[in-house]
Amino acid sequence: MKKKEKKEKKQKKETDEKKKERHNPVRVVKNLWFMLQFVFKYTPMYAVITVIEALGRGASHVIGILFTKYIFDAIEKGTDFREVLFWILLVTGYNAAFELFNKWRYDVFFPRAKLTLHETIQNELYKKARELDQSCYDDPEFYNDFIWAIRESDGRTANIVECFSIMINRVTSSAAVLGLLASMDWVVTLILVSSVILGFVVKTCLNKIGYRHSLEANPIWRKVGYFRRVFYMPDYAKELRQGGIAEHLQNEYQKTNKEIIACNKKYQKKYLGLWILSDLLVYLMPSVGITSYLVVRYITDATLSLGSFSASISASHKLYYTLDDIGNYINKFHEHSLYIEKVKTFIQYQPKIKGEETNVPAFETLTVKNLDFVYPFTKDDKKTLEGLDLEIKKGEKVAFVGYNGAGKTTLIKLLMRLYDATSGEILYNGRNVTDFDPEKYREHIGAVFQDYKVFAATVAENVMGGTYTDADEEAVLSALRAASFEEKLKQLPDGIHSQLTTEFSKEGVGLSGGEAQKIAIARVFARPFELIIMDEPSSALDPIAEYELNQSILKHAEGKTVIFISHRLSTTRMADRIYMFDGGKIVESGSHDELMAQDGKYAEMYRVQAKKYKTAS
Amino acid sequence: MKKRKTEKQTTEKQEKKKINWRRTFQNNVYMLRLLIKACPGVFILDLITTIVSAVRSFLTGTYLYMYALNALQEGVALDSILVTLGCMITFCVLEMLFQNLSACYFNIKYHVVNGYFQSIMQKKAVEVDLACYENAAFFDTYIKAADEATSRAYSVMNNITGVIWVIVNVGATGALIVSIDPVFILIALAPAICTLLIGKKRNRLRYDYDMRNKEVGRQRDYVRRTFYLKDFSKEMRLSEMWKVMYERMHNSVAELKENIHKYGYKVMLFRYLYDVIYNVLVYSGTVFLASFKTLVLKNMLIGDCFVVINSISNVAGNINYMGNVFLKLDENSLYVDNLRKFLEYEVRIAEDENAPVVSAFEKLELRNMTFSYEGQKTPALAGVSFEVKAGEKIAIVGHNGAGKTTLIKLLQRLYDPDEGEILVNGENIKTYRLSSYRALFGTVFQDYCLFATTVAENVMLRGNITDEDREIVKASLQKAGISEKIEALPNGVDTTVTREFDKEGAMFSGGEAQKISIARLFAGGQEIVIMDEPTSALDPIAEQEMYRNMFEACQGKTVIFISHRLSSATMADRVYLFENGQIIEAGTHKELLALDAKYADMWHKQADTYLDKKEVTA
Repeated sequence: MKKKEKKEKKQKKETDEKKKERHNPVRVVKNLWFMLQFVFKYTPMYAVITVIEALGRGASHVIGILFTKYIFDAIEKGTDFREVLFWILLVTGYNAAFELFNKWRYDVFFPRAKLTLHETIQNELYKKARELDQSCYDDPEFYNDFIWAIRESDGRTANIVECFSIMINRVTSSAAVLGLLASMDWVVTLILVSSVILGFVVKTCLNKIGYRHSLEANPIWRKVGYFRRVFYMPDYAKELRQGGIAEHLQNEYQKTNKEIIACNKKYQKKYLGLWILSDLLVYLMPSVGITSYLVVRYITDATLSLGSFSASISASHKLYYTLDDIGNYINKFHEHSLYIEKVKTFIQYQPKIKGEETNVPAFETLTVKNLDFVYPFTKDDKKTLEGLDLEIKKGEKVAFVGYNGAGKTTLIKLLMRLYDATSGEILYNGRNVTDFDPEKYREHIGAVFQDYKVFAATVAENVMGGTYTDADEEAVLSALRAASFEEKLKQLPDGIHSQLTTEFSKEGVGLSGGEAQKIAIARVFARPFELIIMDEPSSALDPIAEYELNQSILKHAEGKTVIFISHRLSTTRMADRIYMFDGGKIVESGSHDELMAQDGKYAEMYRVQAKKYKTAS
Repeated sequence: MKKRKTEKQTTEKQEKKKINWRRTFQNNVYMLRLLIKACPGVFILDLITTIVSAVRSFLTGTYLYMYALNALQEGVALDSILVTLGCMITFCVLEMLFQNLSACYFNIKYHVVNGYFQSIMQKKAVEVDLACYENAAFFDTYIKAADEATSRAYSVMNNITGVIWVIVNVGATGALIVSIDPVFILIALAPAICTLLIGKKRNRLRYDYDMRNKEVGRQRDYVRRTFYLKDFSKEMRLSEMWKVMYERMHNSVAELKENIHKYGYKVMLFRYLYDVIYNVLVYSGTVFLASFKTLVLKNMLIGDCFVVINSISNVAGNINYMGNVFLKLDENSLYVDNLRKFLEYEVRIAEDENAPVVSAFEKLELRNMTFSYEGQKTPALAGVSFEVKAGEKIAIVGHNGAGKTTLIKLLQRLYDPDEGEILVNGENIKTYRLSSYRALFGTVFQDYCLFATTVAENVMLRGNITDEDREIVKASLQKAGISEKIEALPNGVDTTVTREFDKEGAMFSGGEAQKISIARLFAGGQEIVIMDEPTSALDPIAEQEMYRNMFEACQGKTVIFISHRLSSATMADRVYLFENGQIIEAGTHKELLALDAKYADMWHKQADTYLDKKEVTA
């Protein structure tokens, strides 16, 4: 069996795409310690049980070897069978009892302890994820690591702890067996230990080449991944059926595959020598070498009893496998260390958007003064917003208009403190917003974004944007009314308690884009926000629905301060003041009539949109 | 090690009730055939290496001891024992070299096989009906099946050669043990018998347990996604949705713990029973029986005793492995089922090379066409009839979900109608050769997408771009209003789109990408141009410009466009208003306004926000 598995392993290594850099041992230990602290803190019994198991396993190995020696000596010497039977029963009893303990540990205790551990770690990670600055999502490197840290948190923590328990187990077992073997036959011990050490050296070389190989192969693999997506994702299906693009892409795939084959061929030659060396040292020397040595010794040396002979063989086999395992697990720790480090940087990340003042007064004015903003992690340092000045007073209806990419949505993100200004300031009731605690500050502002999201929760929870209690019922219903969702609500099986999306249950309600947008809009009406921001609130709706929705929003937002964003000027016409954005600057501002009279950019844009309706009427 | 492996196998494989062995066998053979077709050397070499390895394992693991001990007892000369030993070592070294060389060969050929499989799959993926993509079950099972084809093919092969390995190895060792005393084979069979007796029940339990955990696991996955995906990031910060998600997570953990309480002990008991037999009793029983025979009955040689005790666990393990092999065969067979369904899928809308090619476009007719998506009760289109003559400009308007996009898909023969027919130049479109029929249309879909190839290839929608093509591409980009941006790129029209393949690749915004996809219309010589909400990602000025260019460039061509912004409909020769899959109003913009029904209502609602009251009434 062994050889068979080995071959498959080699194959797998080849197809495994990812391989990352390695940490030095000190860093590995530090990282592992970081993780172990969680274990000690939240599930101390986990550690205790693991140690007991390791000791029990070590004992069971030693007993097994001594038992082998005893049995064959007894057979050779012809000991009384009753005595033999006694030892057989005793050893069997120990093994059966240990196995029972072990199964309980594996099937009952560990799963439970793991869950406890997961929950605490995930709590920690999620809490941090929420505190993370929005700008972290723009840093692809940080974001990738962050995704990795969270996505794998489930399986990975358990895996790390599992690795530890196996490691402790292997180390104790091999120490015990090593001591025993050394007392029986030092030559065998020497061969084994040197084989393991040399084998480790060879494996390290192999890993290095493997790393270089994956560095070279990864870009090609990425391409292959693209072809997979193109051919199998429904998004591309329609276009693949047009023109000759499918054929072209297939040829490109063939080309890429040839690159892979060539790259692979190149490395196989490098691997081959080391594989042979490694097999000689790690595989033939301990198994065939030791066996032959012992056979020769048994034949030539009369003092070596059959018991010692078989005990040596059995001990050397056990030691060989446990030592080999230790090597494998050391490699796994290296990989885990990489993971833990990501988690560490992430947990220790200090959010930059913060503020001390938790007492945020009711909204009066919002003033933007000479504001500049550059998105972090953009290459060319191009200012998305430049020298912005504006003021919004309580009760006003303000519109931000302009073409795509003019900076309207970015300004909203800054007003919500998802980002902080690069220079200049935003004042809330005359006080710089950076003074306020962001969470408390945001309680005063409700925003609907273009890329709103509906959660897999009930309608009520989605509308409340959080936990729902029966006291909120009126708020939810009136918010849905304001967002013109009433009609759809009547069709829902459980009213506001209907589960949205089919994520959790097959009966979940799937909403169309327009309906989901209405839920998002309802959110800002459900809570007593003083300032409401709508970023293209009707983009997913058809004309009639858009018209009705706008009427409804205006009606329900009476007395509140509202900021509208749109590039459909019909939507923004009724605003008290309109700010026209162009290239990150405010180029014009005033009421619709004022701007039309000014006959500038706004007027031009408006006429373009209105013309088609006018001429045809 | 081995123990963990079997555990994993038992949890994975039994998604079904009964195993159809005939089908299982056929499926495995089918897969193996494909593999042999891709690269026959791989299978042959795998077979040889397996047999060699099994023989070597028997020689060093069992035979060597017996030979040495018996030779010693029989008093064979030391020299000849050493010579035999030397031969054995040489054989082992040679075998090792052979195995390593083979491993290199396998690794190299792996990608050849992979390339072969992927090519078949890709070809098929392009052929299958679009309907398949809308069928979630098809997409999930078959497409994923296609994705892992190569690794499955290897799994099938390794499984088959694995059986051969076990048969050779167990056969040899087993024969040796039987020759010593058949009773020991019975002991070795114990774990396998145990698996037979309680295996089914154990698997059932394991399956229930897993299913329950899986369900809860899905919830946890979702919660996790909401915390790390960028899409959710704003809402997570601006609302208290995270509280709801925390609660979800907490509940799911509690549920999982309950599952452990409910199933953990039972699972433990079953596994204990099995492991105690396999790990403890087989060995102890053999030791007991062997020592009893040697010491009390005195009818067993020491060398035989040694061989039996040392190899019994191995034999028992290998026999049991056979059982798993069958389960694995079945698991693979299930997979092959999916793959076969995909590869053997009869394409309903298929290319027929003998069918006639469409002549110059004159007329398109829809007659009483009805169509429903699979599994949906209400038809997406019900009794739609109209006629389009060459050179006409047709607007299709209506609310979301009225059936406009579906109509476009049918026109392109991505689907066939359930009832009624589509005629081109008086002939049912089914009679034409598919590729020539589809070549009539140039289409911009609502969910257009760009490929990670050069801009020129994206516009021409094919490879082998010549200098002549480049000129066409440039002119088309010009008309689509994106030529400035493209000219500014380092390699002009030969710049790769996206960074997928090329670090220097160009990234485009939604509006820019849409313009490139629109340029496709100008580049192709298609006679009918279809646009599905072509301007949704554009701002008003760009939209205006686009329409102007479009109508200029499409002079003489037939144009069908979909929009829910009615302003564009004014330019059409005829407007069709769709509602609930039916045409409820048809005519020119003016006629429809005069009709003063639904269309007029929609128009006024959109227009009156732009116009002063008196202008509307005027």
